[in-house]
Amino acid sequence: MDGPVIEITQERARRYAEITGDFNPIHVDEAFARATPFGGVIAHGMLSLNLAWELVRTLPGGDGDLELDVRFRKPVRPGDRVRARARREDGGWEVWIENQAGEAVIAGRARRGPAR
Amino acid sequence: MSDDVMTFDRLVPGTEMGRVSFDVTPEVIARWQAIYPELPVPEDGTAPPGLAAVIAITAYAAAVPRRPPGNVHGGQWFRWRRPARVGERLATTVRVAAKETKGERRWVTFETLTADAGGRPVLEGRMVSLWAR
Repeated sequence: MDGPVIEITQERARRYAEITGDFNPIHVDEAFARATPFGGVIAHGMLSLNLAWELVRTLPGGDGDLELDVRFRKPVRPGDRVRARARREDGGWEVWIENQAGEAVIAGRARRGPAR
Repeated sequence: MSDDVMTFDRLVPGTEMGRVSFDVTPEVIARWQAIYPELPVPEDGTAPPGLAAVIAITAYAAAVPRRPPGNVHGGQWFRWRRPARVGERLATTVRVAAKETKGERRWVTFETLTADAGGRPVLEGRMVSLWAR
């Protein structure tokens, strides 16, 4: 299953920083970020992760807990276009966020169902 | 840089860093929706599950205020025990769960537990961060 594609913009990152209070300069300060190994600002990982939530909430699997466990594997930069994808696996779903190059930038597992 | 920075050495596993209230208001939902205008929001009075990020990170940012710049989010686990409801007040406790070094890298794990006004768990979280210094 695939979710919609969205573009990660500095405007989204700014709004995300404002609503969470997470103004880590690696996300919002180009001069600071340029001096890091990333070479420029990277988006908050959770900014893209929301796409996984949106996909997961539509997946079949029953009522009860909604669980997501991911690793942030590659940076997402302003201008990147990302979408969530999922495929069924034993006990839940494999989920990942894919960029425009087809790379999994976030990857992990999701589960819906009764509390364990 | 100020000595007040919460460096890796100052983080002690098991320490509760703070408890932070969060009101799930229509305004919060509107601000969240403004980040993702192309995505629908639930129409049943519940908050979108992605709001987990706002609830947990707001609490984390308030409870651990002097983080070194340049930390990187490495992993995240969340479990919604039930959806948050618009209009309710939640409270999140932030705790240092673990820390370790792997080579030159310093990793810190924080746990968040969000409960409703009756103290019942709503959202659990575990965040792994690469600590800058």
